Amino acid sequence: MLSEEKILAFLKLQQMVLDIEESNKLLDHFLPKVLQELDSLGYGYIYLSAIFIDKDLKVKQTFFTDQNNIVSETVTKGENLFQKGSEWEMKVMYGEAAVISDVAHLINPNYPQFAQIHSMLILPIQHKRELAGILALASSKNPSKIDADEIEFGKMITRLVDLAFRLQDTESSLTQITQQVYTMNAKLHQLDKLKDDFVSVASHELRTPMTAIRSYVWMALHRSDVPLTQKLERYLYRTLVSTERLINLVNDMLNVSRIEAGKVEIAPRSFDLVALVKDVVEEVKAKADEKRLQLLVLDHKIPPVFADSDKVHQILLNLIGNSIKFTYPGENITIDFFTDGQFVETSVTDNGSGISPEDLAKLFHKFARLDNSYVSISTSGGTGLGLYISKSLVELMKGKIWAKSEGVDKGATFTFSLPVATEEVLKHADQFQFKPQGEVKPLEPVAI
Amino acid sequence: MDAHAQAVSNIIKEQQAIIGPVALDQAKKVSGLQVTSVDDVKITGNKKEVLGNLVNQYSKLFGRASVEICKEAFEPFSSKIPAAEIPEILKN
Repeated sequence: MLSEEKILAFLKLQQMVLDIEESNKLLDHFLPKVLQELDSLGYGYIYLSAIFIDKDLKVKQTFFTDQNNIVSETVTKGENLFQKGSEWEMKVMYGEAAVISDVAHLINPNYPQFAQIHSMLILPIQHKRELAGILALASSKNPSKIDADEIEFGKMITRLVDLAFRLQDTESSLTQITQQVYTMNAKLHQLDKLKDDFVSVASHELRTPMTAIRSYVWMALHRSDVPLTQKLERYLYRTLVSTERLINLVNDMLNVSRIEAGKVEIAPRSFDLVALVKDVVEEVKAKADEKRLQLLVLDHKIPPVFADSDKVHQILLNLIGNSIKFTYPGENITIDFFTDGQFVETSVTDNGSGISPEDLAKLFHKFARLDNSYVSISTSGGTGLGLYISKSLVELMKGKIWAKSEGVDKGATFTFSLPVATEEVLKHADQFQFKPQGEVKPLEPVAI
Repeated sequence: MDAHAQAVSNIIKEQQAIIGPVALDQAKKVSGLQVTSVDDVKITGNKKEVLGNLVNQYSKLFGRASVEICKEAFEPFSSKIPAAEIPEILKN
């Protein structure tokens, strides 16, 4: 039976295997500790070598440590291991320990302490009952001095050595996989950047000729020298509307690419949100009047918010513009506010075409094509990017945006929150700012 | 934030674009570096060492490719920081 001292030494070593953080060098750290622990138990081995083999008995990896902590792979000759079919090799292959005195064929004669080695305890390292390697302990003792107790303890140590090797092996495989995944992700990221650059350049290049087309079509429609037939006027009008829609799409694509590339600055300040909402309502009034829509701003006393007013203006134009598009003529659109003292929530409610439950989830995605309700790009004239842009801007200002609807034809409420300009917020104002590296790009105007 | 802290912040941002929140977790492990968020970075230790240790922290887990990403993220700051204050691993 093992003494308490040895059990404690074993438990200490076991804990060490589990505690070593640098798992990819686990055995390099662990084996010297094993040697030290064996020394403290009075065994005093000159060196310890762990040699791991594969299923064909070929050496996979060799570890070596001696009392000087020298780690080298060359002291124990592993190249011809299990090739000779010697007695000790057979014993080890059958899972038994072997003590040998003829060590010359196993040890590199250039090893400085070669002459002092008189015996070697060779223990099989087993994994799932298969031979996985050997643990060779070189000793200055005569072979007869190595007793059964020492061998038993050595066998227990081999289990820990195997555990350490498996952990190191697993860690190294995981590291390899992690690095491969990282490299692939980095390439994808690179491609994503190239795509963004392409979208940005292409959109910019597209907008210039389209703006010219729009101007000439407008002139043909409104400043023509020759009288237009009804048919020609209709064609020109359709061309104008489609060109405007394309320009809006290009503008939104440019905005998305600028936001995603981190080129949009967020310069927050404390301001009155209700006043800004009223300004936006004035801006869109003509559009609302075309559909005989009434825009109601419920005037609550709310604290000033801390946000970038230009970006909030853009968000409000998008949300109110959407409501105007999807509300039936003669109905109402209501803008309301709520505050809990930390955030101000602004909600835009209409009783228009509503949103189906399955579309609610896709609403803030890029190019969200909602077949069942609300944004049907082809009919609404929307670009499918407005809500995505609004969400991105709200989040850049540390707020949130969400939508609710009871279903198709039951109206919808879009709400976004922004931080209140509290003393605490103003104290940490720099955390609410976003200053892009390099060139700052403005946002293109929102079309409603 | 001084140039070193800005460089650290940019490196974390670039790593975040590739590996997500792990980038911030790894940065928090670097001694001498206080990171609450990607925009709230404070260097309390030796600036050059902290910058080098941050790159090594990523390199230990993600290998050579992560060092290249760090170099790219550091590039805009290379002219703002004296050469003697730039860790070897970030020099081309």
